[in-house]
Amino acid sequence: MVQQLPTSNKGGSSLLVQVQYDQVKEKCDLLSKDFDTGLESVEFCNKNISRFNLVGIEAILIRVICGLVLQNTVNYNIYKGQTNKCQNINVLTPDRRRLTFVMAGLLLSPTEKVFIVHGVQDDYRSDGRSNIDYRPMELETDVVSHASGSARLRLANTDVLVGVKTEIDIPSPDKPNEGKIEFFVDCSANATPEFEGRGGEQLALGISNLLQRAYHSSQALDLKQLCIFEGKQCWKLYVDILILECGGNLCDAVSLAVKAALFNTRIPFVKAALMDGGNVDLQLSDDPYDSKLLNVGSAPLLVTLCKIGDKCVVDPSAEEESCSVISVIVGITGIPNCYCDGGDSLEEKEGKFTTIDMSGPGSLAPKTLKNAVSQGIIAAKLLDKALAKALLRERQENVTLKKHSYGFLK
Amino acid sequence: MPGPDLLSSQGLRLDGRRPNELRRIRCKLGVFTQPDGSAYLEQGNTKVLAAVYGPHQAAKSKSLQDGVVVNCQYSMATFSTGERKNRPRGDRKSQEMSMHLRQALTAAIKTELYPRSQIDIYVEVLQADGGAYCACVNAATLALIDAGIPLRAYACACSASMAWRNGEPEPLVDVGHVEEAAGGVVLTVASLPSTGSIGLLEMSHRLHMDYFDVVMSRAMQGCRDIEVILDRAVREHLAEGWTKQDVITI
Repeated sequence: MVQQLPTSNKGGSSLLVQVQYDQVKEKCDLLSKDFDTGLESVEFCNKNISRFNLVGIEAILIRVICGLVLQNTVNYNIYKGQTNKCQNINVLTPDRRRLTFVMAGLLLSPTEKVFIVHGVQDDYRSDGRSNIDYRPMELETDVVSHASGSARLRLANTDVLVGVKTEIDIPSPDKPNEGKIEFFVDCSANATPEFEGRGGEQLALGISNLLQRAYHSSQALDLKQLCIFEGKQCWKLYVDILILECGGNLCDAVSLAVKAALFNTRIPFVKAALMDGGNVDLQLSDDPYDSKLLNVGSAPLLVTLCKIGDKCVVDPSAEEESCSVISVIVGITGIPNCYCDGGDSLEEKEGKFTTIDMSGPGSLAPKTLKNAVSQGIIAAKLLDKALAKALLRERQENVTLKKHSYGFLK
Repeated sequence: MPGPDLLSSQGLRLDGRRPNELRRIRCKLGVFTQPDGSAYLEQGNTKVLAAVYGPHQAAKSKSLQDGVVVNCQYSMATFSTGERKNRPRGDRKSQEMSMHLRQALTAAIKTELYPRSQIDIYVEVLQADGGAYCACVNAATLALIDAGIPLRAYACACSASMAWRNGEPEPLVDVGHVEEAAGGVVLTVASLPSTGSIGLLEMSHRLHMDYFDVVMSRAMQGCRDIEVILDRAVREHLAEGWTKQDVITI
């Protein structure tokens, strides 16, 4: 909540500070004494964050004040991509213009870090989650009508849109009875200006390679279901991932959205017959609804485990991310039973790894890695069950009552 | 001229609209939290997202002494069209679109207010069903408003085509993909309807000079209609109270 603090009148140069923490107020008062300026008010819009970073605020205020003194127009906007550490500071200048400052990095004091590390140690994080809990997410399938299957997922501030397109292709000679799948990641400049032009290519390539590896195994996604005519024709799935907003934990969000989009994908029924000369004749049904669904129950989910202290957490918040030096990404196959109706009673198969990847500058002890991986399996299982439940419910709603599509209008 | 079949004998278009009818426009401001301003706009089946960053300090090489640098990027999602696109941006068409966007939006922005600064406008076409450029301009205007950037007026874009009905020319407003593909003339106008000025005009295929005025006035009428819709959306958005960006939570 915003607290209104009494205005300190110092002969025209008043600095009204609306903040909760006395410390910050002190700092701002100090600053206003140093510089004879006319800032009307400074307010701090603090998103997802429990503490202010005094150093950063000081730096910004100095910039503001200097800017006002030196030139008449001030517009600084300090932003940094790939973070949900979005701290805004709004400054109202004497001529009633509102300046917004977005603070770049998030700096935590050692005490705060200790608080977070201890919380993780006791499996009770600062926002009340356990170490394997995700933040709430929104998922909607069938949002792009030009694609065979699509899904949009929003996890905290991360927004991902996935579209699956199908094409007929010739199978590769070494796998004549299998279809193909290709991943393409596009980092939209909407997410951060750093992605403009070819700026996001490296990140995009990293994610698409990771997905390609995770889906490579036949136990992850059975590509035989994409075969039309052995050795001659097969389906090729283009999974196009569009990253619209980056708020951390990108890999997990992307893998969830990909699985949901594949679940939503409809492939038309095609009859194939071998003609003379080895040509294949394809016959497509006239009815556009004459299509089959893919069996994607075992498609892998990527779980990012962030090492904090000796333990690991999934889906780290911005504060937690800054306490960690390394994270492990594991790809774990799903539980196919969950994706058919009434399949809960059947015996569950254990998840298998399809890929392991590490990111970050730090290193990891083998024992920690082992713990992390086993924790990843548990997290992936819970996540997969939740996803299956949501997807089945959505499909049911689609069948029974005409579902109202929200898209981005919600 | 491929006119006749664009209008049925009852005077209805291929998708059932009347000649002077726009497709349904649905829009929302402030869809994302990270950009300074963002908007989502649906015009029929064309769906567009726009994000605005800035004004912020311009790069040294780009910086202008007397006004703001408007930087636009138009990109299309690979799954946005019927046939899959290989590249979301960087091809000739998107570069041309980026330039046209800059042209139309610079006309609307009060550039003189922010010397040595830069405004980034990014539009992403999620689904293209004709009139992607128009939808992009309209979405970008909303995103600029959401970002609080001073504008002279709403910048609205609308396209118009022409068909024949009983030997009489009949202009069609807000051309869809099917009508575009039919090969008739497409006149795209980006204008500031409240001032009546034209920011960008582009025409493809050929049109007899005699009919230019009717088609043009139909397109301008479309722009005015769109302005009303956008204005209502902005007012509704503001009436909702604080936007996502302005919510103060400490």
